[in-house]
Amino acid sequence: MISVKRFKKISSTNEKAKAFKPWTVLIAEEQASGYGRKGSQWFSPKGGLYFSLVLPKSDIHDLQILTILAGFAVAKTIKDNFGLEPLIKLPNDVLINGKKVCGILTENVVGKEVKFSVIGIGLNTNIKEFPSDLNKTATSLQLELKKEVNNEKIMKEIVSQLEKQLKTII
Amino acid sequence: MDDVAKIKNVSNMTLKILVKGKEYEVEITEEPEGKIKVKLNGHEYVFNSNSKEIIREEPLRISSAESTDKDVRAPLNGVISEIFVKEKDEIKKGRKLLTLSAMKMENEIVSEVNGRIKKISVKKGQNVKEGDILITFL
Repeated sequence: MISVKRFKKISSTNEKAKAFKPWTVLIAEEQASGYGRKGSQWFSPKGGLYFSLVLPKSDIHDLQILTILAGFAVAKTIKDNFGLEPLIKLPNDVLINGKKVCGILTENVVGKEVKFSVIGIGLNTNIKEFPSDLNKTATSLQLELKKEVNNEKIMKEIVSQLEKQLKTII
Repeated sequence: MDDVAKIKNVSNMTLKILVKGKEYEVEITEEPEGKIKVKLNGHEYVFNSNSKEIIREEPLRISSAESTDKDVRAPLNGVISEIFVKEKDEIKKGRKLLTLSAMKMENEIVSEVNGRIKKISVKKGQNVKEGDILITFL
């Protein structure tokens, strides 16, 4: 049911996803201009996991739990696979040891009703170091585990978790 | 049996109630000081939770009958984060008009009509409530 489109480098998986049909996942090896809420920048070098899922129209009042469901899917995947203790900072960040490891941005395209939604997930997986302005607030799975992780496996597991969770609202 | 109200659907405190075959949508929200607000058929009724007496009754600011295709309204309470158009712009259906940050989500509001913008009633950074008019077309 879910189709996956892969990109080496694109501006942003969320931005690009708006041109795709529901239940498409877009995954990029790096983002030239990854962004978070209110246009803030998301550090997106090669090694990290950046993907977006396009969802069909739903009730706008139900959508507030989308981001929370996505945070839950990410945290559960990290905990189940790596034994780390992630903390969901509601509604849209996941932290490990007090530092941000994942950011989630939900965007809705709305006319008279919600036409579709995009959930974007930026997960710091295989990032060896952060720029000085992020060093104190950001971490990665590689830094926490002292080893590389498999981006493809993590993405598939998060998407599968999300699909299960989303069936409760879409 | 027809006199019995049946609750058909429950989500986010919005109930659909069937009475004598007619469906009514009732939205219930908690207000400060233990008051309960009930929206029904274009009216808001505010109750004290421990009494059946209505303490405030007011018409809803919008009802579907008043809403027109010429008004673009806020789908949620939030803050206008970007405006992409100006007054007098000719707009095609589907064009991105503005973004509204609400419930930690970014909501791109797109035009449902082809037409010219008469008035933009909001500014970047402004707080808006669900149902407020944001943009009016000629």
